[in-house]
Amino acid sequence: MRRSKAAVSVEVRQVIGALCRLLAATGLHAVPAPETFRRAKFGGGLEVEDQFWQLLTSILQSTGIVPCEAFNQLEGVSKHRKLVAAGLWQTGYHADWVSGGEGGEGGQGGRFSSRDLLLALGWLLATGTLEKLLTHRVQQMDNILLTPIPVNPQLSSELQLHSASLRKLQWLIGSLKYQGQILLSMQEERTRLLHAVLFAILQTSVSSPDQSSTVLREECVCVQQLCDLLEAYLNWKQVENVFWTWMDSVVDCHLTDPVVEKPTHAPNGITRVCHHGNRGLEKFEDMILRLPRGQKGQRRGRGDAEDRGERGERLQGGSDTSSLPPLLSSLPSLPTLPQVYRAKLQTEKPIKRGFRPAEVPHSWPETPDELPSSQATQLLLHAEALLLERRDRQRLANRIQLQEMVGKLDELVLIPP
Amino acid sequence: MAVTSASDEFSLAVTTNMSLLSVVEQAIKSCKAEQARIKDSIQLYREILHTVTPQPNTDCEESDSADDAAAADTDVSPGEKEDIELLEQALEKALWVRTGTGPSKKGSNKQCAPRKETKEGMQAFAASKGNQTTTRSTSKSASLARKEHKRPAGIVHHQPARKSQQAVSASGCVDPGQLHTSAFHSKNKTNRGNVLSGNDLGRAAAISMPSSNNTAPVSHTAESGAPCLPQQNGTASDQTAQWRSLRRKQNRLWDKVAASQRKPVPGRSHFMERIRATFPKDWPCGSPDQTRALVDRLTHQGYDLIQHCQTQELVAKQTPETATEPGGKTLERWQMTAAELQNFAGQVKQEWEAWDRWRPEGGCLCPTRANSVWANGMVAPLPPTITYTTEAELRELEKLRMRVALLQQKMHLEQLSSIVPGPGCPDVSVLRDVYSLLGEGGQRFPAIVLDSEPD
Repeated sequence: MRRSKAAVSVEVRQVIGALCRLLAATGLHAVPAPETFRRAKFGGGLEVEDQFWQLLTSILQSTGIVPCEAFNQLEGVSKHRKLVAAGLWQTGYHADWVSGGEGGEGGQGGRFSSRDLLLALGWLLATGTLEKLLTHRVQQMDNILLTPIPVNPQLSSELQLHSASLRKLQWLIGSLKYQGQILLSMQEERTRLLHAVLFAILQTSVSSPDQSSTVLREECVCVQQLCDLLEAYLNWKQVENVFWTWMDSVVDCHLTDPVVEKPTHAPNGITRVCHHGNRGLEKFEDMILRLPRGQKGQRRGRGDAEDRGERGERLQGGSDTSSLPPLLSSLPSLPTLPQVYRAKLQTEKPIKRGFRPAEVPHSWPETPDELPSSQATQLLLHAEALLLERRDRQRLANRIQLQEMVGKLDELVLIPP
Repeated sequence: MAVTSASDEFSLAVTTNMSLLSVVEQAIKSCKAEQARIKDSIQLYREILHTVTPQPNTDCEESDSADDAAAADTDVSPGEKEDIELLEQALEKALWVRTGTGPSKKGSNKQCAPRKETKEGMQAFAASKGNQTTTRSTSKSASLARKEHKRPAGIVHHQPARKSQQAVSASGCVDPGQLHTSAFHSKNKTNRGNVLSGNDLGRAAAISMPSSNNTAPVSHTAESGAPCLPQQNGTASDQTAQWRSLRRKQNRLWDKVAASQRKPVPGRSHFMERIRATFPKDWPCGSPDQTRALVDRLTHQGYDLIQHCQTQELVAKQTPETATEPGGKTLERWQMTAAELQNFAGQVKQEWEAWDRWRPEGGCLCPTRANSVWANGMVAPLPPTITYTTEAELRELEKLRMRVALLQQKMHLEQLSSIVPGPGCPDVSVLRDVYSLLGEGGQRFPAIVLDSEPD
């Protein structure tokens, strides 16, 4: 590091400028100036804090990390604080002021400054928020992406059949099937047209169509913005490391401050219920309870207090739930497919990447950025097969149970189709 | 999960709960919403294609016709002439069928028309296959054109036959008076197939302009040769070229961005480590998002396992003779897996609760479908790219995607229904309906027979 301090700081400012340009290109409105970042490092005061509150709030809202509806009733500063606190927790961040006091001051006795906000921003950037912002923006602007198919209803509690409404139910289910078929055929049409568009992009014709259209003009504008965004991202990626070095120095500053005693346990033991009502956990526990028991005897899913205490100890050492135990991981699980993807038409022969053709992937590979459609198709076929198998099993179970039921009735005989 | 085990009572309950209906209605609504979205994209793509690819000009009143007309004749190769004759004949037949008049009159009428005229006629016929309004026909013809465009050149000889079939089945009403003056814009030179007039026939123009008559400006019938339309709008072609180059640039940039993802960023991981070091001791690893994805996945796997075991038990009960060793081993394996799942689930639950202790107001740990979290808990950084080489691949991919989504939807609904035993004797038709709904997916019905003979 022989360069003078001035040179270093100039470089840092440029890098932060690149970051700000990138953030602005993703459509965020509240991006502070690079100078503000530097001021934040040394505790810039309320004005700087304010700008960072705005920035963090808008980042968390755009990426959908925080469901907006939970905060609609709040206003003003406290809204920012609560929203940002929730969002940071959601990404696994801890700081005194996040889980600490709920009053206007924030932080229990520690000194809260804009540096904390800067560190929080750094954490968000480090955990992939930039990519989320980019994805979000690309989805907004790009018309030829392939998007998810959101046809699944959200409710997941068990419901019961009412005999009088059976007819209507049958009719509705038939109608649903019909809608599904319409969807399939419309999808086919769209795919055809999409291919035509992708093909048209690759054409090198010099012909002159006579019509201009507003649609194309708008398209050009959007695509131009997209290109700007992607370029900004590439620029950022090239100089990213300088930013992280600088953030390291911010951490240094933060740590050399008089540190407040870190709480080793949560401030309050009350577990609040989220606005969904802890449904996910209930379902989970229900599932555990219904698991078939081995011959070893009953073992309750909800551990006793001692069990929990013991496991709590182990947890402190960091229980590793990141990898599944062997038998579990051999259970067929539905491959989750990416929600959004981009289709690329390749006209030249694709380069083999050492991928053994005999190897059929059963799950989405670790971090692929590019995949041949044959592989994706395999995954989907596999998923379909799994689903069909599950469905048939369910139907078989239903049939058997119903037959049993009817069998117990006198005078009635069920003849299956 | 769908049929809870019968207790001593074994009749069907009649419970009042309309929610299942509303769930299905919701599903239908979301299907319709998706249809609207797809329709919008289709519209958009059609517009883009219409603008970007050369079209026979429908609105162009200019007639550079005369010269082109002369030139056009010489451009037609003998082979094409043959095709055209064949097509002409076929179309004559079509006319007879349609208008119900005898062959002689129409034939002579047709024959005295100039060659190009019949080409227009063929266009008209081909176009009339679709629809009759001007505006819609151009978009339709765009899609038709796309269809033809992709066919390899070799089959252009088959096209006359196909066209005649299409003409015969054409729903539009074709009138010789309607053989009109569509400008016949040539395809560009770089068109992949050998550009032949047969191909161009696919590019139907709008039909509903009544023709002045057969000698009307025939313009732009040059095939595989000069681009005949004058560049009335220089900016238009610029726009197309601009769009193309922008899109290509975007593709290149995207590839670079994806490549940049593969490079590790040591500074970033170092920073994360340092921040993590400031967290309290019992802070769980990962993030709430990962935990909730894990909970979701385990829940599904658990239910799957339960269903497996249940079904196996039921089947074993029904056919006790087959419940031999192999069945026993599988059951044991399931039980081991279940035990493992239970253990692991316990750990995950601990983690969940740890997160919950620190949770601020507004944080949520419920699994939502909105997460773009993969099965292994990793967050998808950017939309991946799927490369394909032929259109069929893309179509199959999309079709499968839709099928899987619809299948998931259906299964979700099937899982929601349950039968609860209750007092009273069930209605026979209800039994039958429920059986078909839950046992056969609503596709087939059993027969329930009253057996009132004393045994």
